[in-house]
Amino acid sequence: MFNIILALRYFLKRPISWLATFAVAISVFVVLVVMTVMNGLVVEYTAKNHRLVGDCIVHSESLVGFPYYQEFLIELRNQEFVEEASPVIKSFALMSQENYSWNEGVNLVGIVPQTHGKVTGFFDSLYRKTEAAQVFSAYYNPLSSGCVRGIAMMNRRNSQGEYDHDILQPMKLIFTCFPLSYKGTLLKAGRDVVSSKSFYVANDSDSGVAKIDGTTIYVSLENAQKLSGMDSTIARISAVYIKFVDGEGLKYAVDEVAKIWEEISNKHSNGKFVALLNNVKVEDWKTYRRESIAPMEKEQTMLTALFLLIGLVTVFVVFVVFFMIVNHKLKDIGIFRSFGISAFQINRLFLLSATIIGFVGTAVGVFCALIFLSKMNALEGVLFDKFGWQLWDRTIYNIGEIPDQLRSEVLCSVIVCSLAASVIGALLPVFRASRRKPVELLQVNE
Amino acid sequence: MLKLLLCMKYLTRRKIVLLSIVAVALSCGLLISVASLFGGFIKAVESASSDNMGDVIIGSPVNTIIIHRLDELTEQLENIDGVECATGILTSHGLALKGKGDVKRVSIWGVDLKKQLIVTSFKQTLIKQSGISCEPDFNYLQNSDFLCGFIGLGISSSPDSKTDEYDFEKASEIVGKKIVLMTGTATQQSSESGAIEFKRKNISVRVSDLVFSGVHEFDNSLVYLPIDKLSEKLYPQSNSYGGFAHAVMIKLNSSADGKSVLAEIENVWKKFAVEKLGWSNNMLSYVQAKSTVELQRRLVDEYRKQMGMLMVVFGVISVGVIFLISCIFYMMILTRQKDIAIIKSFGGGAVTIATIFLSFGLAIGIAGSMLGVGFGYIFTKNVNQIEHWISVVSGMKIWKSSIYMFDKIPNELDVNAVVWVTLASLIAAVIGAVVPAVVASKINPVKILRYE
Repeated sequence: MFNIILALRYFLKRPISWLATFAVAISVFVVLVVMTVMNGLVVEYTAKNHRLVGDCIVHSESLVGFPYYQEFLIELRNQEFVEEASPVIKSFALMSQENYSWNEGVNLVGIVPQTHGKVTGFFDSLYRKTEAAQVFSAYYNPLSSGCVRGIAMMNRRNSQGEYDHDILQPMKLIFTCFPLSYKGTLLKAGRDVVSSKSFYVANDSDSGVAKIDGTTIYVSLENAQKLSGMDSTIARISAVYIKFVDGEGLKYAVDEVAKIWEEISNKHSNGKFVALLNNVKVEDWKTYRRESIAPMEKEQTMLTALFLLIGLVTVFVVFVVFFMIVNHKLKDIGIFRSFGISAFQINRLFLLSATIIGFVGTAVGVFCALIFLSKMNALEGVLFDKFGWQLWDRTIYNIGEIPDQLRSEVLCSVIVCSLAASVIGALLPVFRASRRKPVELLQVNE
Repeated sequence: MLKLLLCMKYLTRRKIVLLSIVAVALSCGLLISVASLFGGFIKAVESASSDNMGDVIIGSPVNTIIIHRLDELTEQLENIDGVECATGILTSHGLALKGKGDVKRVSIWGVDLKKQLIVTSFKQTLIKQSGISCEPDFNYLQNSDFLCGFIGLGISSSPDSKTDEYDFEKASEIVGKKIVLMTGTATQQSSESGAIEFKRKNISVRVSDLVFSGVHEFDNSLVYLPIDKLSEKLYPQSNSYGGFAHAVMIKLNSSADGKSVLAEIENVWKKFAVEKLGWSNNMLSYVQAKSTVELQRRLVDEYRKQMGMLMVVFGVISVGVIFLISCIFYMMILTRQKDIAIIKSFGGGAVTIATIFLSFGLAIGIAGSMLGVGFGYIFTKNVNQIEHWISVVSGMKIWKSSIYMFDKIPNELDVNAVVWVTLASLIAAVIGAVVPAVVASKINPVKILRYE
């Protein structure tokens, strides 16, 4: 009990302890705020990438694609762990607009809306909410072929990060592709080969992933297959997106899908399209979107490393403060030791004091961080209204509100680190003092 | 003299002082490194545009409007004092078929190579021809019967996913080979209907060299062709006198006053567009003369803002250094009360005592900031090697050109940052010493020196 009373007394009666507490609080506050924002951005962006492709992707790296997807889809849909699977075509096209002189290269994606919507977050991304059957049907011309345009292709975000535009205005886009044979050679345009087709803009897709929204056009799988030549000789696609039933282990399910694909691939290993099957990969969504997600995760890691470096300063502050407290209390320590209190108990007393400093500093830092985070977006709004200042210019960055949800894992790790930093900082001075002999400590000239 | 001696004694005899020096150095070095790396990146963004597009550009934001009578315009522009050279570029988008099933999205630039070499740093970016003494040539491979062009290195091959480095030998295999570019132009069908129709054009090109500027966007998408040949392919019906282009890139003399020359260019351009091309003011508002640095202004301002935020965050945490110095000094005063009392009993005043500790704080600031500058310099200059070691050890490639635009991390030390961070650390060190110095100056020698 005396440990607690003395530790509290040292904390309350020594103003220098408050300085250490303040240093801990500042560090905790800054780290919590920055890590919450950074972590929020990473989590949000990762989720957007997950919604883009489903749980598992079976894909070919060649633009020629791979065949036998129909029987693969049937087999997949028979599995209990598969909720839905959807075929996708990925190709490139040159886009131009009727009656305008510009043109631009785009990613052309062919989908089956009914299944694609179940596997991915495609329906949620649509600007004009619609039913699956109406996805490629332009409001102003429902009978013609329609396309869904990446929302950032022709629209600008306002300062609130929102796209405010009208898609009811008729717009006809023409897409021209390189139709490729199953051997990868250019198919000559002729009676059976269509390389160019007009589409009305039926909707916009806002997936939240800037590279996708700025370059992608979605059309029906059938149209994409024709334009890219994937309907020639043997029907082909570029990928199958798969969603697993909730609760199914990702690794197990991906391995099972790989086995199914291997069986189909082996079944056709003697056919003339075997070369196309060798390019096919089975990957989970994280691996498939790694190139997109990894940079943000790396930046978060780098920032964490920088904060750890800065956290050293807090350790130094606590170290110095305890050096002072312990030096000032050498006589007390000598008296305790002469009463028979062990070095271990002395250590415990001062480390408890360090823990109190860490605990109070952390509590203050967390409290201030929570208040700041809860008001952060409102504060940014005020700053924007009064001074035109935003943390991120929403017309440039595809970011909505600043992430302000403090995640439990971030909170726990910061609390543990700050308590550890406080105790580590106190270790050396405390151990040094507790090892000294009471006779030395109680000398008059000490 | 006494002050100096005491400062030196405290600096050399007290190990704890090293801690404050290390803390100052750590914060100082970190702030200098962050400012240098971020500032270097911003500078690289600005210089990348002028290196690849000249100092001033006349054109519409999406290069859809054609500027006719190009030769006449460039001649007028080159007559302006301060303009070294002006050249037109014709742009188009398309797809490149490099081999079986191997298609890539590309942008096509028709350039006048001779002038392009003056306006931009184009020669250094050519892989095969950068080292030759004569002028680079599209027909470098002497296949005069065929249309030759240069392609970005990233079109030929992708960098290694782990090291982010190109295999130049493998990439160069495409040189001498034929690729097919699919592009097109929109043309008016008839003057009566006014309908514009897009016409697809397939252009076979023999690759005669690769371009590696180190800027991912350019290396990954640009195909360069002779402007006259591209004009013929895209606009075979056009019989425009004196050539035409979508944009005009202008190089200024190194001694030119950018602002005044830009104003002069604007005047010449406006006059030319109205008088020679018969353009309306509305049309002129789409095609403006702007410095290439100005074109990047919004993005650069955003980068600067983010850099400022990062510096504020690290600056706030570095406030801990002031606490640290305060604590260390306070501790020293507690242990050196008798020394202080003796100095006072010999006639040293409160100001003398305070000055000793403030000078001591300044000395710590100087030592710490010097170390910090050294640390910042070494880190910044070797950041690419450090990044390489991290990627070798951890298997994690931090810097990728596809994400951060450039193939190398800009590693120039920001001298301005060095100056203001050093000043800030000196001030912080002195501020940290203020409270202990005041406490020390108030010590009563009688109380301290009496024997109890």
